[in-house]
Amino acid sequence: MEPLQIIEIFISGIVVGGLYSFTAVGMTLILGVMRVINLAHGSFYMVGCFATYFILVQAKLNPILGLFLTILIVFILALFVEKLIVRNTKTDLMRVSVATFSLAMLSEEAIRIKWGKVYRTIPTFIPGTTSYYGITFDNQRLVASITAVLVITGLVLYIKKGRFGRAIRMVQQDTEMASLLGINVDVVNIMVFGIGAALAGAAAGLLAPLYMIYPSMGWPPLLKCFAIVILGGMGSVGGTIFASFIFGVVEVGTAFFYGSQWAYAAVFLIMIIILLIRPKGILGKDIF
Amino acid sequence: MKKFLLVGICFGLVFMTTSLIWAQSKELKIGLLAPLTGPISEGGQRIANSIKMAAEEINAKGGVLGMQIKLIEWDTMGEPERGVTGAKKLIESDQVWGLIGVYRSGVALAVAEVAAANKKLFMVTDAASPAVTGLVKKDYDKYKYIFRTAAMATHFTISVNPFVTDIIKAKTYFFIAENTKMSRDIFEATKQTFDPMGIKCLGEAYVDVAASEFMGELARIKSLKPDVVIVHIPGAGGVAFQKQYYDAKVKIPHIAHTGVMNMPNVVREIGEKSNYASFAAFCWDVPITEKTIPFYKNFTKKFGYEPEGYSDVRSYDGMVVLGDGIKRAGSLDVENVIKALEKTDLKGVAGRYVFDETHQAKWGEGYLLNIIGEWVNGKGLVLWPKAYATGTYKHDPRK
Repeated sequence: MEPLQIIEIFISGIVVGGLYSFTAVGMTLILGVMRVINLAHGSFYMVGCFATYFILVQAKLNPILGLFLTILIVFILALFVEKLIVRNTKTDLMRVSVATFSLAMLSEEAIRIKWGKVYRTIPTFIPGTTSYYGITFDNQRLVASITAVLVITGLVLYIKKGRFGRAIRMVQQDTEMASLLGINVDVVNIMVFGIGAALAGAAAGLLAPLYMIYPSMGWPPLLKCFAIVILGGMGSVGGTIFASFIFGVVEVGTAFFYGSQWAYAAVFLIMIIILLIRPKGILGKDIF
Repeated sequence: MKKFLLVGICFGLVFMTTSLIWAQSKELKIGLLAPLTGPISEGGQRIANSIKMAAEEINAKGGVLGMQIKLIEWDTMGEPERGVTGAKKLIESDQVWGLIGVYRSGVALAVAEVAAANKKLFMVTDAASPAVTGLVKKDYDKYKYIFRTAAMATHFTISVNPFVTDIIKAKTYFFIAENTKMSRDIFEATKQTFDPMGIKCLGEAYVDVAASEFMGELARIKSLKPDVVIVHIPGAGGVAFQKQYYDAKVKIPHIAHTGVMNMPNVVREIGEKSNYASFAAFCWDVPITEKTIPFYKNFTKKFGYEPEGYSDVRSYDGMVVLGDGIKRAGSLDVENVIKALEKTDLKGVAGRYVFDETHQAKWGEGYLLNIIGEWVNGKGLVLWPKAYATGTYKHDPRK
């Protein structure tokens, strides 16, 4: 076993973890502020992928414009979902979970009816590869991973320092008090839901060219996000990012050393061990 | 006046009822089972479309024994429980004469039990486990109703042999596949084939059906340095795997079993990253029989995408073979149809269909074979067999 191989596996795991964090942070943001388990989160990612397909492959628009349009489409869609569905069901955890799950099923079938069941894929728009000391990564994957870290860092900084960010933190800490202090909680919630979904949309725009897209593709990322969010600590953005990297490194490392069939088992074993030691997850409940 | 009206209504009702019964007796109802929704619905849709296309063509020529084939669909979603529920509903409620289709051996085995218990003919067009036709061998009297035009797991293994032994002349290989029963069957058959030849397996990996990240597996392949990599990821993950294989510059020759990497519409959209990916296909748009090219043209025109050569072709041929068997039997008596099917000798799209003693369509020279191809710049070069070859193997030249 060469040292370079270990480095390659570790860096590959970090890159994969960065990709996972992009969708997972959106889910934890919604969970932390709104106390809502959004089971349609994977669907926002899936819709984002199909929006990217339409924009880049069918409409043949510029990829950068396409990325912004994808984020915008998913963001606007999420605003409607929050206003019509989540707001009216979130007082009961079971109701909102069932409602968002039903929405996920509905969106899958709607996409299937519109785009059919034929597999589709998108050519990468950040071409080429980057190699360092024999370790090669495709540029699309690297850019997506780095962008994820930068966007999430920017979001965290904004929420810590920005005015609206303070409002988000107040609603997260005490909704009633925030309302009494004049903060429009509904506006905060709808924006948080939109931003959370927009992160999934951004992930879709950058990641869709790496994979194949199909109507039921939202479920695996949803399950992974859920596991990562629990591992990191529900509502903790920092914990989610850390958990994403752990997830990525363990998954890639296990596949290399023991075989792919053990990758998920290893990840969930680590999760159980960490939860036994720290029941609230790696970084507990507070989101910032 | 009122009496005449009443009599008239009664006659009308009697006429309508007898017309309906007469119309139904002019129909041959066949239950079509396939995963029409869910993650494997792409394959399921191909199966359904192909069977429907075959049925339409048969009906346009007068149907079977003067009856128009009426297909009644059931969505199995790739799950055995749903397959069983559907088979029972089709048989008991819809009163179908027989069953066709399926996808996934687990579903096929479950449906086979229902078909056998109800003495209904079951034409399996897409499920590869040897256990399916193994039932016929185990208990002929109980399971004689099962026939299979689909390839068997061993055929998947044999389909890549020429690439491993003749084109690459490999001494070692790595096997990576979806984590399914079929994959494990294929690997066992692969080992049994290559071990006596002295071709060594350096490693195997089974990935989740929904997997989309393969960095760990690719690092392992690079470290082991096999002469060839055999890939059985027929679903959506196959595209991600190919893209990552290309990006990681794993320049080891690799061949994918029939699946997503022999779908021209998908490969076109992958673009450059499909280069140097070899594939085994159970059919291709080369003149395997006089029916092959017309089928490819008609299918593409009708559905807007090309056949991938397995789920679609074997399902189309399965419907044609079934119709032919009923015609030759001269009646719908299932025992007569079984005897007629056992004597099948029919040229389909994929080749010549003759069933062996386990009701499996025979594989080999003069029966059904495969082609081996390689994608280069969006074109599928046929490498093998020589009769249809359009090019020679190209190694990845990138540094």
